[in-house]
Amino acid sequence: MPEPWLGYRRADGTVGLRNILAIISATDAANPVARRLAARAPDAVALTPLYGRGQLGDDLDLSIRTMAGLGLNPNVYAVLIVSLEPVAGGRVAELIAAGGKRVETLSIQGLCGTANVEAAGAAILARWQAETALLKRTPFEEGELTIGLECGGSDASSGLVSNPAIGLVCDRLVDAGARLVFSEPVELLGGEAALDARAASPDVARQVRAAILKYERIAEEAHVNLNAVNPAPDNIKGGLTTIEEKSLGAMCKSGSRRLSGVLAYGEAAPGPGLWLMDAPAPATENITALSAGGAHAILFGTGALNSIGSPVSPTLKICGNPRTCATMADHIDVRLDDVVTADTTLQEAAARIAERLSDVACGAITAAERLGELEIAISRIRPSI
Amino acid sequence: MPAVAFILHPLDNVATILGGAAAPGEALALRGVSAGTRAPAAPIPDGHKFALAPIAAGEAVVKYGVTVGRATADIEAGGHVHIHNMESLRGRGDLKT
Repeated sequence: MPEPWLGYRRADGTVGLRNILAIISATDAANPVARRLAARAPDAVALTPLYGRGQLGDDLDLSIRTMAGLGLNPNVYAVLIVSLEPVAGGRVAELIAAGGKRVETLSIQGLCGTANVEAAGAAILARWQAETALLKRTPFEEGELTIGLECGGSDASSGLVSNPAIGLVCDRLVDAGARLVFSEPVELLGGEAALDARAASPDVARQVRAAILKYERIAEEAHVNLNAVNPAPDNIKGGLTTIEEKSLGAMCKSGSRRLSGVLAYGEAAPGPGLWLMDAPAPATENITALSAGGAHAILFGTGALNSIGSPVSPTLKICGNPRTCATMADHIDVRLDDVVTADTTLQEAAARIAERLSDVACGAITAAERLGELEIAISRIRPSI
Repeated sequence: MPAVAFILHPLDNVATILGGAAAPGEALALRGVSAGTRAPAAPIPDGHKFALAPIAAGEAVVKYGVTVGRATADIEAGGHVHIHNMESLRGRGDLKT
């Protein structure tokens, strides 16, 4: 009998793996006070995107929607929004309140300075911290999970060990009724044929192709070689030569199941199954989008190492490169180097990932959480004015 | 710990080594779809590829059973296959006029 999954049941029926007190600064002038506030409460995290003023249209919408998505992530217990003036914070708070989550807003101008924001915010956080201390974990089903899939700091081992092993876990969770979200459509260039065959419908196949080709078109319109940027220098040093080679390895993490549809940046999966999110590949931007889409946790395959994790979705670093596992062990949650150095199978590797995911879901902390390697970055689609 | 060489698909014309660098003539245990050993003909850095058969300039480099680029120079069997002798076919805005 497997150990039960234990989480915090929310009033709306969803389950959280953590009781994060999220402090979101809706304008970057409030980032420093947000960070000072986060240092005052053990379960508080500061989510401090840059910008927040001078943005317009779809670019502004994306920022607001992503901040709200991060606040609405089921791992977040309550949200404190800080901003320079009250309107910028209020529009994010409105979406979070509409999603049924507790939210408070404080503005620097409204409270006559950051010292008052800090004092008022600390009182709110202390109150919430007292509430979460009383909450107990209760059993939930693995089919209730939303799991993000990411790879970064990739090398040749990623597409041979960590990503295929993650793919087997992905299949198991899809079969259990969970929501699985992989992303980075630029790193599907060259793998379109296999994805066509997995699309739930011709319409989904068209959407997947469009999401992938969007990134090829950016390079074409700029008259540059996409491969000058992706694969990145660490990928190339580790043996990856072209975007196609990197893609074929990256897409292994999506397993083999039917592809249900394409999600916008930070959009929540509307139902069970495997989904492709259209978000850029750089890890911090990408995991921010996955977290805003409601990921309870992220399975992150790495080779040469990317150290970053999401402050909202515990991010498990999974590595099959023996040298990285030996020299950067403190960054790695699941070592799969014995797939290379011994006879460990990918099935055994997948079982090891699933076991660690269960531990982390039930409260064990990840390497990125322990080291504080947690950051967000919200994509921009237009310049500030 | 000796390096091993992965061949992922019967159509592949390259093998990828993991677990360390390999020397010319070093017999590497095969993983994936093939058993036995193969030796590269050149020094191969950790994570890099060697050709399983001669690949002529312009021919496809095949890994995972899929074209992952094309050779930009003739590559001998066992030769190191990397960015000095292969290139991508995708996202090549630099080739658009």
